[in-house]
Amino acid sequence: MCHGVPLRVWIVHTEYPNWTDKHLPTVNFRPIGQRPLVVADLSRHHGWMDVNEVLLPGVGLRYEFTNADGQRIGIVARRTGDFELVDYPRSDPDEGRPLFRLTAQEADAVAEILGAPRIAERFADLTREVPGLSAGQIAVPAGSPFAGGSLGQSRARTRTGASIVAIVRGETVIASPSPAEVIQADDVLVVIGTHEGIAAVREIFRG
Amino acid sequence: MHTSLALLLELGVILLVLSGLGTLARRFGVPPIPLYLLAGLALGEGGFAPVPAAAQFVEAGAAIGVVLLLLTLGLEFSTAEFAHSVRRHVPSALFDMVVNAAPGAVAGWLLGLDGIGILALAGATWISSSGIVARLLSDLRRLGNRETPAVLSILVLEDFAMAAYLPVLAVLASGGEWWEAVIGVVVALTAVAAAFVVSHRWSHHINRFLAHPDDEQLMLRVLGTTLVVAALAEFVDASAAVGAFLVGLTLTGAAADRARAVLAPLRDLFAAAFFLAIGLAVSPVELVPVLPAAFALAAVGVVTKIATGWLAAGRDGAGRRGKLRAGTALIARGEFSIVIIGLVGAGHAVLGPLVTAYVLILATTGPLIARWAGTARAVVQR
Repeated sequence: MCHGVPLRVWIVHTEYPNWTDKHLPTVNFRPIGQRPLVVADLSRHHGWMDVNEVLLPGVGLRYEFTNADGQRIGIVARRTGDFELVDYPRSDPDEGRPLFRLTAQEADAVAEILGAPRIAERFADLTREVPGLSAGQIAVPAGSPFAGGSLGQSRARTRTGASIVAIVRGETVIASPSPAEVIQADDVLVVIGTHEGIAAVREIFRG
Repeated sequence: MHTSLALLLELGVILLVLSGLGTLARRFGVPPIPLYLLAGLALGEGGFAPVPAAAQFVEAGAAIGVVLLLLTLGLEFSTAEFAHSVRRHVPSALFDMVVNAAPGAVAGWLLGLDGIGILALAGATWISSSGIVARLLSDLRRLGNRETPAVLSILVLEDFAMAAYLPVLAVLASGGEWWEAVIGVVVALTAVAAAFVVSHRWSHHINRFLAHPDDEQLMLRVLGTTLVVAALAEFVDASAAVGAFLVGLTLTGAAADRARAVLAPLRDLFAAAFFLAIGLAVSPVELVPVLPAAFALAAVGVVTKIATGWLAAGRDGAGRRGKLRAGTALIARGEFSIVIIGLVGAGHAVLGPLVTAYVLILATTGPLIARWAGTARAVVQR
């Protein structure tokens, strides 16, 4: 058995048939070089997927999982930002067969194509520097002073230091919303910042 | 201006030759370190093309080379990875130390070396080259393999052990009494612990000072700080190398990433100067008599590293082929063995040539054996 850290990865898709608050991707904030993982699912259903995370000291991380076809797949995420994909033949599960390598730029393009929410990347960049950072979800109440106004009008980041990295609206997610994005009642805001910052944003939208 | 002309010309030719050798080495899948050593041998006294003018630069560059090698090693270091390695691979690392240091110690005793010589030779046979091995695993596309984390963990633990070993050796080599060595070790360990605390608690302050947004400023600040700390460490007889390692440890996160990128070309240049200088210091004539001993040590070193890798990979549940791959990947000795000799070189006539030959053999054959082990399907079928 390979000794790694088993992760539970919430698979999200850009259409969320039964989205509820508790289904928001939980992102583990872990130390340097370890990126939180949110994986997009192309098969249009969602649920938990088991991914094994193996530390490669000095090199980076390796994620391993078995896909629906029973193929064991490994993704090596190097500190340099490069990626390498391998699969494991059933005859010898120890030795990965190299499939292909991706530079950081190519990996970005592939991630874009697969539709992975870019939120994860942003979280990783922000939390790498500041271990005290956390994420929160804030539902915008119907009577909120900013319901119907643009995100920029709330001046949430200027006032609290916390960033709104995504808006969950019904079954869609607006990743990385611009300041012009209009907030509606019952939107759920994904906020990252300090605990105090997140609490302050909640206050702002409660009015 | 005559000397300067000779210096420029000699240095330029040397760098071009090194570049050619490096390309050649890559083609045959071996690291450039042994070829740099050979180039040093050829250029030194008794070699066939002495370079008196460039030798001065190489000597000075070598000192900076050691500092930069250790600084970048410290920059690579992450507490999380160290903790992980400690959790899983302390028994493998202890086994690694015992079985690989013992042949060096025994050989040193047989060759009639004094205590310091024995300690140095034991260290030189113990420590794998993390630079060569990490590069090798990547080149052979083995990062996806099951045994790879075990190999990398061993390297991390070995490198960390060096932080305790080098000051002991440095103090003893500088002619200190045993109690001075103890003080040296205590100072070094305290400094390592302090560096850890600092990097945990106040890293953002240090990073803020060192990690200037401008690359040039970043390079100057990190390099300047490192050289000052290295000099201070040398002053208290704890070895400049250890001081540099500590500076590397305290830099973390994005600052460390950027510093690594900025310093990489400098490190490559000065490390090349360092390997050249070691070759320069050894005359080819001295090399011949130690060859039998070097080959014997190397043969034992191959076996003991395979045993180490076998054990470590087995702890991670790898099969036979994985265990063999892990063991053979660890064979290569390189920069650290040379650093150790750099510390005690003077005054031990036989040690310099012996370890140079030893590294020449293992840095060349290690990667070749590792490559072969990946394809040796028939040899170790279950």
